[in-house]
Amino acid sequence: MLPRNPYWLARSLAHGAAVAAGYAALGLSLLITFEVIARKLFNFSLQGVDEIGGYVLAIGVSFSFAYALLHRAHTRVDVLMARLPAVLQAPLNAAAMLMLAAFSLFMLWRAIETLHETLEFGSLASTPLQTPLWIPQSLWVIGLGVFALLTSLLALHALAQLVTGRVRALNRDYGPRSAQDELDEAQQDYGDSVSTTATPATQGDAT
Amino acid sequence: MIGAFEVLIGFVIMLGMMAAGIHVAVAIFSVAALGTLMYLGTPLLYSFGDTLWGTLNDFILTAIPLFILLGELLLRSGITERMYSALSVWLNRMPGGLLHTNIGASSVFAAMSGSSVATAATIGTVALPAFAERGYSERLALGTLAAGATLGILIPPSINMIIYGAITNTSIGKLFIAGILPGLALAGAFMLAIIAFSLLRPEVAGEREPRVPLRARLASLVDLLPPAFVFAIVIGSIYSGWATPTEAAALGVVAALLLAAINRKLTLTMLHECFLSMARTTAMIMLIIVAAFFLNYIVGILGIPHTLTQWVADLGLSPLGLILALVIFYLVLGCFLETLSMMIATVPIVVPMVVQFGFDPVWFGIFLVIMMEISLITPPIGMNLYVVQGVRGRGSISDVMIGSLPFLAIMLAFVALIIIWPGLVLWLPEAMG
Repeated sequence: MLPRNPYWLARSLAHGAAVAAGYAALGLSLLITFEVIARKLFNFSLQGVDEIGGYVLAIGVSFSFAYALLHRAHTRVDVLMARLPAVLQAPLNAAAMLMLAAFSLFMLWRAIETLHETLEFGSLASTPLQTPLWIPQSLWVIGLGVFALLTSLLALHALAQLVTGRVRALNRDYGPRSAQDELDEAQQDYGDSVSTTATPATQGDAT
Repeated sequence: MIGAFEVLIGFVIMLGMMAAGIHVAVAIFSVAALGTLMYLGTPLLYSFGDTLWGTLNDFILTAIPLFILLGELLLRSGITERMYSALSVWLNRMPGGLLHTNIGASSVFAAMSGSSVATAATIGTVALPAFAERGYSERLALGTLAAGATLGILIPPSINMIIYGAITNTSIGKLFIAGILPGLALAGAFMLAIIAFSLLRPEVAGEREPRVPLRARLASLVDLLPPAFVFAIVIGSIYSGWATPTEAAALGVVAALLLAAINRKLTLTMLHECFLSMARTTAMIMLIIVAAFFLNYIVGILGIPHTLTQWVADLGLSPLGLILALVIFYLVLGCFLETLSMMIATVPIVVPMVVQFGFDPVWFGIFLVIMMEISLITPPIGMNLYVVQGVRGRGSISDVMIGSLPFLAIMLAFVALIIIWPGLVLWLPEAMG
């Protein structure tokens, strides 16, 4: 969606963070599976798995926001927009990016404030682990910071495109995804696992 | 404190922002913020940081990425095609032949993957070439694909139900269990309709399929084991009370990982692709959810459910009248909102009101999910129509729309059925205790 060069760093960082979130989810699944089996069969509990699960979600998601943004995955409604002429779509696309940037900055600001209070009161999680909350919250704030930084950069980029009248580039880079885009991506993603062997036709012939 | 008219204006502003292409999450948050500033003041707006942490740091919602990861692993573990073939040898002999396989495979697959786009893309790619060859009515074949793929959000595990349960504080386990019977009943009704069609107008059903020997049919069952295995682990552990939905999702992930390994599809590349899809979809959903949780919180403080309940009571609507009005409301809304956004944006306002009118929140959750399914195949924008048309890649979208109409009618009739007979939804979860 973007000119490669200025954003390759952001892209690869976001990509890396998303993969890391995946490993965290996988690790969490193994941990939970162990916990459920141990609890059921040996009456023994690890304690605090649910707490860790919450942190995995909070931190993983805050870092994944940026990755989703780079793939234009954040939901928008394109019913009306798709019917407008390109000249009208452009300012709407720029406005959407600016408002998203404002929202992400507001999230970051309030999250920093929450972290600030945690540090001030030295809050601990009210759980068996008694985790000092600043540890997961700091990572969470950093993730939101990356998201805010990226949305701001992209919003400025969109604004620049609007001001200089590069309407088509703006709509290409920041337009909402259509059902066709979703489908293309799904086919690209899952195409390998379909395609090869038995279609129902060959199945029927073989038997 | 706040009148019904102001609530309506807020709702219209939200819809207007969405229609203008503002990100759905931003639109939801903006009206919540607007309401806060107008009626409650900045301190509450500033409390958003705590809402944000509280929402994201929630073990119940951790089920969302885990179920998405589970679906991704299954999608890439190469079981689709073989599952389709296996279902086809069992369902082929009914009048309507392969059309039944479309319904069966789409609903199983959509239930596993949680994505109607992925379902239509994969099943459609496998199925559509075969239909052209064998002289089926193309419209009906397209309709079965579009309609079958909607059943995934009703048959557990369902991300939509997790979100509904989390926002309304309803037991997600009960919602899952409550979806099973209606899901099966709807799939059954679709199949009955296909049989009826094929008997009345044999030309829609194409050539009769060759009989497959029993031994080959039994052998094909092996290919149905993987999805059955994962489903049994996830739903069994919830139903028996062994695991919470989040824990069940984790068990499912480990099971899917094993399956992928057995099928020799488990590679580092494949795993990373799953992770990236998971991150993307989870972030997309969670951004809307954090906004919706804040809206939910503000709506509660402003006493909006009470206002609306009062307003509806003043209109003289009976509970039945309210539900019928909501059917129309969601039909209209579904014509221009994407389904998940439609649910998340309305649940904070609608559910407390409906509950005050005496409806069971589990029942209403199932009702809502069926309304979402309907909007997935309602012209002009039903997502599944476009996805199936995209897989087909030629002709006009109106073929898909016409082919889906019978199934749309069945779903509406089914909504009437669960309104008349709520027991169909509530019997299983109540038996669970």
